[in-house]
Amino acid sequence: MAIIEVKDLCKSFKVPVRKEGRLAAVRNLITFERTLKTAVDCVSFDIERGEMMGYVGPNGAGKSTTIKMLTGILLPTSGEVEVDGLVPHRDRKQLARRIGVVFGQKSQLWWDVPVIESLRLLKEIYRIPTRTYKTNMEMFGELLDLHEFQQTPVRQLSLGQRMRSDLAAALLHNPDILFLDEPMIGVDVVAKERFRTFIRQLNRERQVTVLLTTHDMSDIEKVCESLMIIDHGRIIYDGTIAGIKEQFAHYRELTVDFADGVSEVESDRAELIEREGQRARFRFNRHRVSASELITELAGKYQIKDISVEDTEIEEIVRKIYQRSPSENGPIES
Amino acid sequence: MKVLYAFIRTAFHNAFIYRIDFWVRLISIFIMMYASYSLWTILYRQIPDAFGMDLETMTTYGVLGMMLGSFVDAASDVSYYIAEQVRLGTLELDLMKPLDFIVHMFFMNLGEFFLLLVTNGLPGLLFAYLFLDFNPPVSPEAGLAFLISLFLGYVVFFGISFLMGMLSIVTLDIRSYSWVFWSVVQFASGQLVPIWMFPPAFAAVVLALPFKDIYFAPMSIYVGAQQGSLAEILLSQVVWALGLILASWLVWQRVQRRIQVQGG
Amino acid sequence: MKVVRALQFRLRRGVWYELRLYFKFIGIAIRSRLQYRSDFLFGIAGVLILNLVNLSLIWILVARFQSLAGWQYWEIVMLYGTFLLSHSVYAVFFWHLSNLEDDILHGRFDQYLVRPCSPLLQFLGREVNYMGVADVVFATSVFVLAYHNLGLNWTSVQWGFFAVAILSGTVIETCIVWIIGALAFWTGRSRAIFFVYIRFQILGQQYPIDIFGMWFRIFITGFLPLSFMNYYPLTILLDKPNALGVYGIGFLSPIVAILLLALGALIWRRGLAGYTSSGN
Ligand SMILES: Nc1ncnc2c1ncn2[C@@H]1O[C@H](COP(=O)(O)OP(=O)(O)OP(=O)(O)O)[C@@H](O)[C@H]1O
Ligand SMILES: [Mg+2]
Repeated sequence: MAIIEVKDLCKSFKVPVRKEGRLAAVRNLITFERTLKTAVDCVSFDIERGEMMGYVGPNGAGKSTTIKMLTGILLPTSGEVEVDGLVPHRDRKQLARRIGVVFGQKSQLWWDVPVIESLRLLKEIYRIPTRTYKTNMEMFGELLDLHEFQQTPVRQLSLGQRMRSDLAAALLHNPDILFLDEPMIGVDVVAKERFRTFIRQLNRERQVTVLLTTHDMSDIEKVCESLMIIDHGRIIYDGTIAGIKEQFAHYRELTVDFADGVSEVESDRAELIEREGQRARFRFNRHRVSASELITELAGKYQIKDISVEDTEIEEIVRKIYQRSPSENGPIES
Repeated sequence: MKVLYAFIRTAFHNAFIYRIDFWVRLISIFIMMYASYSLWTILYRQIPDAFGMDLETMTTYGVLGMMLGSFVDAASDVSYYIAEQVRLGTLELDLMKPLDFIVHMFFMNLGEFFLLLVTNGLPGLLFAYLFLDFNPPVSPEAGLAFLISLFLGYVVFFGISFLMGMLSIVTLDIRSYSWVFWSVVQFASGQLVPIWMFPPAFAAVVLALPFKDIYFAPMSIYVGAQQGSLAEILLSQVVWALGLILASWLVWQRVQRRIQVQGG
Repeated sequence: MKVVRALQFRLRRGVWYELRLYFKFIGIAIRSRLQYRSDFLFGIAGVLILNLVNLSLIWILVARFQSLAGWQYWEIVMLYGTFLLSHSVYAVFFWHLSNLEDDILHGRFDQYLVRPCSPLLQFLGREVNYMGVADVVFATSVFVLAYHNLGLNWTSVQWGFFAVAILSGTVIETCIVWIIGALAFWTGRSRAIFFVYIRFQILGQQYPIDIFGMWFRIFITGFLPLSFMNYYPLTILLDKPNALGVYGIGFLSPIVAILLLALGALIWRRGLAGYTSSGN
C-alpha cells in the first residue's frame, strides 16, 4: 500500500472580487463578493514507502499548496488524502509525529535562541527518547556540520546554515516521511552536495519517504527516482526520471575532437550542428541510432582524439514542458 | 503629487479588501460620538457653570473630537509600522527604498488620512447633524481655517508618532503600552476635554506641548473658542509641525547610520 | 467505565504535557527577551510615567466636577487600579494575541500546525512581555493607596470576590483580544478592529460608565463587556448603585468570562479549520 495516497484532491482559495468601473469604490464597500481561485485542481497520485519523489512546476503551479494539504496545514476543498493511513487535517497531531517538514522560506526554529536550544525544545515537543536524540545529534553533527553553529542564535545564521538547522529540526524525531519545500535556497555548492547525499543516505538507511520540491532540476536528478510535474494545479507528468527522458529527449549530442589534419567531417547518421577548430558537435536521434554505432562510423572515417556523449539535460525538458501553450496542457502519458 | 495620488489609491484599494474593518470602524465612530455627546450632556446637567459655554457648543466640541480621532489617528500607524519592522528585523529593507523613508511613511499615512476623511468623516458628520445637535463651524472663515488647522494637526501627530516609532528601536515593543500612550495623547491634545477646562497650571503645561496642536487647535477654531488669534494658532502649528518633522529626520539619519554601521 | 477512565487518563496526561511545554516555551521566550535587557529599566520607567500622567489627567476632570456621576476621585483611582491589575496579567502573558493577525497573514501558523501540540499554546508561548511587571507594581500601589484613602475594610469574602473579579477581568480582556485577533482568519486583517477596541477601552475603562448615556452603557455591558472587568465588581465592593440600576450585575463577571472563553474557543476552532496559510 502506498504511504501517500491522493485522489481527486482540489484546493481553491476564496479571494475578494474587486469591481471596476463607475462607482466601483462604493460598490466595493457594499458587496462582499468573492471568487474562487483554484490552486490545486483534482490531482491524484500515490507515493510508495521509501520512494524519493521530486515535485516540480512553474511558480504558482500549486506545489506548496499540495504539500500544505498533505501535512494537514490546509483543509482540502474536496478529494481524499491519506498519509501513512491518516487523514492529515483530521489527525494532524498524530501525523505530526510521523512527518518532518521544511519550508525553505520560513524557519521553524526559535529566532532569538541558539539552535541547540530549539532542538532541545523539539525533543520535548516530540517526546524523543534521549537515546534517539543523542544518536541523531551525532549524525547531524557529522553530516550537517551542526557543531559549527549550534550555539549561535538563529537570527545570526547565514541562509545555508539556517537551512541545515531546519533540516536537522525536521529530522530529529525520525519521521517516516519528509516534506521538503524548496529546501535548497541559499545553500552553497558544497553544502548542497552534502545535503543531497544526506537525504539519499537517510532514504537508504531508514527508508524515509521524501517529497521534494525545487526549482533546481539537478537536485531532482541527483536525489529523486521519480518525478511529478504540476502546472496550473494539474499534474501533467507522473513517472520516473528515466521515463521522461525516454519520452522527451529524442536527441542526444556527441562532441568529437578530431586529430589535426582532419578538415571536412560529416556523418550519415547524425547532423553536424557546430564546428569550431578541430572540435565538432553532432546531434542524433536516440531512437534511430545508438551512440556506439555513431562512434564506430566516425572512428572508421576519421582520426579521433577524444569523444563525449551528452544527454539532454532534464532542465531542458522541463523548460520545454513549461513553455508549451496552455491548449496543449493535457496530461502527458508516461 | 503623483506619489500622493498613488498612495491614496493604494489606501482605497486596501480599504476594499478589508471591508469588515471599514464597517466596524464606521459604526464604532457613531458609538463614540454618541458616548461623548451623552457624557457632556450628563456632566452639564450635574454642574452647568463648570463649562463657561453653552451645552450645544460643548457637545459639538466633544462629538467633533471623536469624529476627528477616527482619521487623524491614521498617523499613529507609522509608530506601529516601525515597531513591527524592528520586531521582524526588516527595518534595513527600508533603507533601500528609493523614496526617503519619512516621505514614504508620510504619504502612505496621508493616503489613509484622506480616505478616512471621506469615508468616515462624511457619514459621521451626517450622523452628528441628524442625532447629536451638531453645530456648523461658527463662520465660513472658521470652517476654512479649521480644515487647514486639521491638516497641520495631522502633520504634528505624524511627527510625534514617528518619534514614538523610533523609540521602539531603542527600547522594546512600545506597542504593548500604546493604550496608555494614546490615553495621554487624548488628554493632552484636548480631544476629550477642552484645555480651557484644565486648572490653569495644567493648562499652561499642556499648551507648551505639541499635543494641543493635533486636536485642540482645529477643534477650538471650529467652535469659535480658540485661545488667541487665528494666525497665532496656525503659526504655532506650523512651527511644531516643521520642528517635529525635522527632529524625525535627524533621528532617522542617526538610526540609519547606526544600522549601516552594524551591517544590518 | 474502563473507557472513561482511560480517556480521563489520556486527557490528564495531554493537558499536563501541553502545560509543561507551555512553560518550556515561556522559558525560551524569556531567554530571547533577556538578550535585549538594556531597555528593561527604560521601559519600566516609561510605563510608570505614562500611567502617572494618565491618572493625573483623570484628576483634572474630577477636580473640575468634584465627582463624576457620584464617583469620588479615589473611587475612580480604584477603578483604574482594578482594571490595571487584570490588565497587567494579560499584558505579561497574552498581550501578543493582539498580533495574531500578523502570524495569520504571513502564514506563520504553518509551523505551529506541523507540530504535535496545540497551535494556540505554541503561539502563546512565543512571547512574554516582562515589562508588564511595571504594570503589576503600579497597579498594586495605586490600589493600596485608594483602599486606604477610602478607609475600606474588606472581609475575606470580599477579598475572595475581588480576586475572582481580577481573574475574570484578565480572562475577559484576553478573550476579547483573542476573538478580535482570530477574526483575521476570515478577514485577513484585524488590527483596525483592535484599534477600535483600544479606543473603547480608553473611554470605558477609566471612568465610571454612569457618565455616559444609556445606549453606551448597554453597549459596554452587553456587546463589548469591558465594564465587567472593573466597574461592575467594584459597584458591589464599594456598595454603589450601578449604571444599569440592576442589583448584582457584578456577580456575573466570572460567568461573562467563561462565556467569552467558550465563544473564543469556538471561533478559534472554526478559524483554524479555515486557515489558508499564505501564498508563499
Ligand atoms: N493563501 C492563499 N490565498 C490565496 N491564494 C493562494 C494562497 N496560497 C496560494 N495561493 C495561490 O495558489 C496558487 C498556487 O500557489 P502555490 O504556493 O501552491 O504555488 P507553488 O507551486 O508553490 O509556487 P512557487 O514555485 O512559486 O513556490 C498560486 O496562484 C497562488 O497565488
Ligand atoms: Mg511554493
